[in-house]
Amino acid sequence: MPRLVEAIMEAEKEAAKIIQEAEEEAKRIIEEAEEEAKKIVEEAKNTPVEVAVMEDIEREVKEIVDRAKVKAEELKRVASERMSSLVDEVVREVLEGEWGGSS
Amino acid sequence: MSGEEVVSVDKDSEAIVRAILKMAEDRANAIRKEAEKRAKEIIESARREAEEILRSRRERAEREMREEIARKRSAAEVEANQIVLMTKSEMLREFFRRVHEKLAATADGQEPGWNYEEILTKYSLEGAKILGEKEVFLMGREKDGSLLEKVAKKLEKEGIKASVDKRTVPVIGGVVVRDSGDERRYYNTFDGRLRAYREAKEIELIGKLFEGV
Repeated sequence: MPRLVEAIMEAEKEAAKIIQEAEEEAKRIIEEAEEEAKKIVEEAKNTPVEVAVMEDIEREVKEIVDRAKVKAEELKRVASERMSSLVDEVVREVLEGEWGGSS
Repeated sequence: MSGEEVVSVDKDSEAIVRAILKMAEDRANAIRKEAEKRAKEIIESARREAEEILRSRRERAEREMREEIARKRSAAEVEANQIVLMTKSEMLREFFRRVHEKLAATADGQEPGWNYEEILTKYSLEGAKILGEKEVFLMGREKDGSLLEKVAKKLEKEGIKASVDKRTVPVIGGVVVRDSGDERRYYNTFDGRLRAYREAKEIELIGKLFEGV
């Protein structure tokens, strides 16, 4: 009987060692996973984000301003053409109209 | 203990040892399996978190880009409006500079089609009538002194006693009519008429100058 007990005790010692090794390995697996997880999250935080350029805004800005410049030139041309006759008309209205001052 | 009994004990102990070790190995495998499962969950959770971070960063970057585009477009539209408004303002200023110039030339007798003396007479009569006075004083530009003397004589013929005030007024042209006590004045100057005209008609005038553009 003592040999049986001795054998069982040996076996339990060996079993405990097997389980301890498995627990240590489990701990290492989880630690490695946590380390990997940290890396994955950090990489997501630091990876440059590329955004597709939705519109060519610089070209659009230039077009808006250029259109305004063309319109300004057209305003100048039209106003210059009309100016002389309109000046005469206004001078006449100022001098002859009911624009007398205050008393 | 007989030989048979010894063999039997050895066989029993071997079976027990095997069973103990088998249980330990099963437990160890279960521990490893559980750890691997947990590790997989940790990695998957991290991947999901990373995807969410990237999605959120992309959305933010896109929003910022859209805002930047809107800012630039808005600034361009403001600049465009300023270009147009400044041109209109410049042309309007030039327009009134020419009107002013023409009024000054009229007052200096350099505009064909206009008789400044007649204008002064008309304005003076108008002023006297509005003041309702039979005796008035006429004030004008320094260089209009002799013209105003002539106008005063014309007013006399209309039954209004008129004199030229020694004081002058710094105007383009026209006349200021006052009563004898200088309690009431009627300003019928080119400057005042132009100002009143401009206040009343400027919007209409802008329309006429730039219509159709």
